[in-house]
Amino acid sequence: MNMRKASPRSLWQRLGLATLLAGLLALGGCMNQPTHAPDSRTAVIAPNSGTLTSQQVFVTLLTTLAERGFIIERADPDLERLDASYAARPPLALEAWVSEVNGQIRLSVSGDSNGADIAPGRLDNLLVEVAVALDARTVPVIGAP
Amino acid sequence: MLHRLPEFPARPSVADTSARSRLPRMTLLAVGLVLLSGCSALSGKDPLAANDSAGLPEACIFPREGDANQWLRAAAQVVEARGYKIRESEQALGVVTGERKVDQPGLGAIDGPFGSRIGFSVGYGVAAGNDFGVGVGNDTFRDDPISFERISLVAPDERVRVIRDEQVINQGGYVIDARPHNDSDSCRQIERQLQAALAGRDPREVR
Repeated sequence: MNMRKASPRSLWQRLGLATLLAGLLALGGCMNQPTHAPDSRTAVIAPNSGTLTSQQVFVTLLTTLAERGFIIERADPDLERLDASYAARPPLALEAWVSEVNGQIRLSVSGDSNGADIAPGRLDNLLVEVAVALDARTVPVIGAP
Repeated sequence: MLHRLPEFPARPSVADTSARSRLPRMTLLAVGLVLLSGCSALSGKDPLAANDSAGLPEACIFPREGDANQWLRAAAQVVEARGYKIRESEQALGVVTGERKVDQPGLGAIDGPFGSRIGFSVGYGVAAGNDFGVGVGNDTFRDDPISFERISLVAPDERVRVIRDEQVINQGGYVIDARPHNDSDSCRQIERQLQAALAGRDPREVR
């Protein structure tokens, strides 16, 4: 035990404490809890002319993802649903599916990047590229993100 | 940054006092910039970018040979010949995906966040007699990371796309590195192996 009377802190002690505090704050700034739900986008793929089948949309989605370098983890032509992921830090995992609602073909993509935000425009890029490859356009779905 | 430090005393700016007072400020600025840039991700290309510049190299997209069923069998054969376990295959879409784990001996000797993994232990054992031992151990080789590699061959139409990636993971499960691994040479080799498998030869013989 230190029997010396408590003396006012010296400059060096204060400096040390300030450095410690700053260090803890700096370390804390990099910690991030993944809390929010995965980002997702849905759009109707409307052909500019003629008709489109949901199968065409699904196959184009598959080739688009493959040509962008995604590993296809699972692809089911009956459910028209696929899982793909891209190795990076943080990793990027996508789920995508095609559905037909009231005769309209909807393409949905949902992404997860270990809790990091995926800017909405980035998932839109994918939907637009699929539509352009099919000579179609994307129409937003009211009530869907 | 470090190799610049010895320059300070050598700087002959005694006469010029304004330059002398500016020097620490500029050093502070440089250090600050280095610190700030440390948190920005050193990521590669964005796979979701508007223009697909991040896409596959040209050699990784080539024409498919054979019909869908023949091609799928050849693709599975090639994927297995390269040491991957097949995780997904689908004939209607022409998809074969495999993964493999490769040891990375030597890569364990990195400086982790808690220093190197060289340590020592003191033990005291009682058996038929008494013994006392001190051991100096080195975890380096036990802690070698593994490389987790995946491959996808995708050919729903008349073209084959070869996609590969690699994640280096240490024994604690921490991902040291993760990146796509689409090099043109391997893709050309895979193309030759697919041709060999379709011709009924063993893809292992193709180099």
